[in-house]
Amino acid sequence: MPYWSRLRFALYSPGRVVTEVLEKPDLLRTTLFMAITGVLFGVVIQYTMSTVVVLHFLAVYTLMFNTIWLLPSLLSLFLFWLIGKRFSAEAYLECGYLAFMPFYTGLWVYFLPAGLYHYLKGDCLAYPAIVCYDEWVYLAIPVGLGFFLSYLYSILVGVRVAKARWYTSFIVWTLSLSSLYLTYLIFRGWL
Amino acid sequence: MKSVKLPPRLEAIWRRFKPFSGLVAFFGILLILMWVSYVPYPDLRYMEENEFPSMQVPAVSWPGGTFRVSTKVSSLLVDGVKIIVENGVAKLPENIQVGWHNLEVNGENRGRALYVAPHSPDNFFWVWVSDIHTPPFGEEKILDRKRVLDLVDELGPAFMVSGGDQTDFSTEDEYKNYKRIISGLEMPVYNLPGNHETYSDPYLHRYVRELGPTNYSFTFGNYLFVTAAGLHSYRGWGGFDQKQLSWLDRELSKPAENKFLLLHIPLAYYTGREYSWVPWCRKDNYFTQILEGHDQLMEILKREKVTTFFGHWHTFDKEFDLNGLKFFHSPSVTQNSKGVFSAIFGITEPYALGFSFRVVMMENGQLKTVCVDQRKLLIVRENLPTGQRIVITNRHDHAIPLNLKVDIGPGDYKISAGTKSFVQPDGTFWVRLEAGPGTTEIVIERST
Repeated sequence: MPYWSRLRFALYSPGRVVTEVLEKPDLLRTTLFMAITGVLFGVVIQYTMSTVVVLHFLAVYTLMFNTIWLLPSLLSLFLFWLIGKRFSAEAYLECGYLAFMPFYTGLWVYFLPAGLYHYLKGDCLAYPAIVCYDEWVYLAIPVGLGFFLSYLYSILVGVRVAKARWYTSFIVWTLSLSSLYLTYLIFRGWL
Repeated sequence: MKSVKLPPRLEAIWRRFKPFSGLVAFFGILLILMWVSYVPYPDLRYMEENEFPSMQVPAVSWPGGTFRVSTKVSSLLVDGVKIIVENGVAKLPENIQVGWHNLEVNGENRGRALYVAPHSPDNFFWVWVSDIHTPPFGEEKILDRKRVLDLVDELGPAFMVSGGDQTDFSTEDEYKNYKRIISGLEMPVYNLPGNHETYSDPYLHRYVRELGPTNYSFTFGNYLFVTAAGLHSYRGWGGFDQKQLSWLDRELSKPAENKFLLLHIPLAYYTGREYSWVPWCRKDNYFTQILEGHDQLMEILKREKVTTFFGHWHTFDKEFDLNGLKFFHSPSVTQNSKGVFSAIFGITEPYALGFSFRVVMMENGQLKTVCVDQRKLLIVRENLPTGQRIVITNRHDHAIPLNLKVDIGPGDYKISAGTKSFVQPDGTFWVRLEAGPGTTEIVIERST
C-alpha cells in the first residue's frame, strides 16, 4: 500500500492504518505532511479571520495546531513506558499523529468553506462570524466530533501499538489529555 | 559528492534519532520563529505637552470655561480671536458658542482642536465605548457599530473615549471604515489603542498615522484623563515598561480633583475570563492582564486615587472595588455570540451581547455610571408645527442621563420635561434630563 493511503485511512479505517504503520513506520514523512498542513492551516485560519497573514501568528497557530496532538502523545508514551510497556516509539507517535486526523479535518471542514463563503458573500470575516454572530456552532460540531473520534482512535493506538488493555489505554489517554493545559498556556499565556 | 562517514557509535545514535528528527526540527523552527517574530513593545507615541491640543486630541471645555495648554504657549487664538492664557491655562469667554472651534497656538494653525461642550464641569457626563472591532468589509456590520455611536452622540455627552480595539486586525480598510463611522459625530472622540491594533501593525505605526498619539492626557474642568497603551504586541495581555511607568507617574501626578486612567487591557478585576487559568494572571484576590509594571502602577493609582476604565473582555459591566480603588470594565460595542461566551465561560451578564457602552456621570465630584444597550434605548424625534416632540423609550431598569440637542430654529421655546440650557444665538439649546425606565416624552413648543 502506498504511503499516502495511510493518511486517507486515518479518517475511516484506523485499524488498517495501525497495521500499515507497524509494518513500515515513517514518522519523518508524516511529520513533514503534518507540518505542511499545519502551516497551511495557519495561513487559512489567518486569512479567513483577518485578511492578513502575520508571521508571528503563523508560528503560534501552527505550534498550537500540532501541540494538540504532540503533548498528549508524548505524555501517554511516557505513561505507557512507566507501566512497563515496551514498543516502537516511532510507530506509536506516527499512529498518534494520524489518529488526530479527524480533529484536524474538523477544523478544515469549518474554516475552508466558511472563509470562502463569507469572503465571497462579503458580509463578514470568519473570526467575527465565530465570536460575534453565533457561527461558533458550525465550528464546534465538526471539531467536537473530530476530537471525540481522535480520542477513540488514540485509545485504539494504545491497544494495538502499546499492547495495552483497552481500559488501560482509556485511562492513560484520558490522563494524557490533561497535557492540553500546556497547549492552552501556549495559546493564552503566550498570546 | 562524498557522503560523510560517521563513527559507528554516532551512526547508531543517528539511526535511532532519525525518525524523530523531523519533529524536533519542526517544533524547534516554530519556537525560533515565534521568538524572532515577536515585537515586545509597540513604538508608543507620547503626546508632547506643546502638541496639545490638536485635531486628534482636542481640548474640551465649556462656555466661560478653561482648558490646560503648555506653559510655553504665549499666543492662543480661538477662531481668530485672542484668548487669555495664564500659567498654561486658557480662559474662554462666556459667550463662546457651543461646538467646534479652530485654534491657533503660537502662530501654528491646529485646525478644529477645541470643543466647547454643552456641559458644566460641576455636572457632566462622558461616555466610554470599547471594542468596536470595525471590520474591513460587511456594510451591515459596519452600520451596527454606527448605530451605537450615533446613539452615544444623540445622548450629548461632553466627549467620548474609544477604549481600544477600534479595528479587528488593524488593516487599512478597517481604519477607513472606523474613521467613516466616527466622522459624523458631534462630540470629540478620544482614541487609545487595544491589542487588536497591534495584530497587523505591531509597532502601532499605522495606528499613530490614522488616529494619533497612543499616550496623552487631557482635562475637563478639574478632571484629569490619562490614556495609556499597556500593550505587548500580538498579545491579549500587556504591561508597562519603565519609560511608560515614569510617564504615567508624571501625568497622574498633575493636580486634579478626580483622576481617570483609561486603558484597554484589564488592570484589576474579579474575573480573568479566558485567562482565569493562566497562573501568572492571578493575584491574591483578583485577576490582571497587566503583568509587567503591575505593582508599580497599582502604587501610583493608590497614591493618586485614580479610577481606572478598561475594556477588552466585551461582556462585563460590574464595578470592581479593590481596597477603595475603583475599576470599571465596560461591555463592547461589537456584537458577541451569547452562545460561545455562555457555553465556554458561563457568562450571563446583562450586556453580554454587546451593542453597549458606559455613561459616566460626574456630579460635584461624585462618580456614577450606567451601562446602555443601544437596542434598549430609542430616541425618536418628531417635528411639530410649533416645535418638536422627543419620545424616549428606555427598556433598561435604570435611568439614563441625556443632554439632547434641540436645533429647530430661532425662538423662545418651552419644554415639558428636563432643564433647558446653553441657549445659543441661533436658537439651538440643550435639554438635560434623566430618562427613567419606560417612556418619557418631551414636548418643545415655541412660546407665542
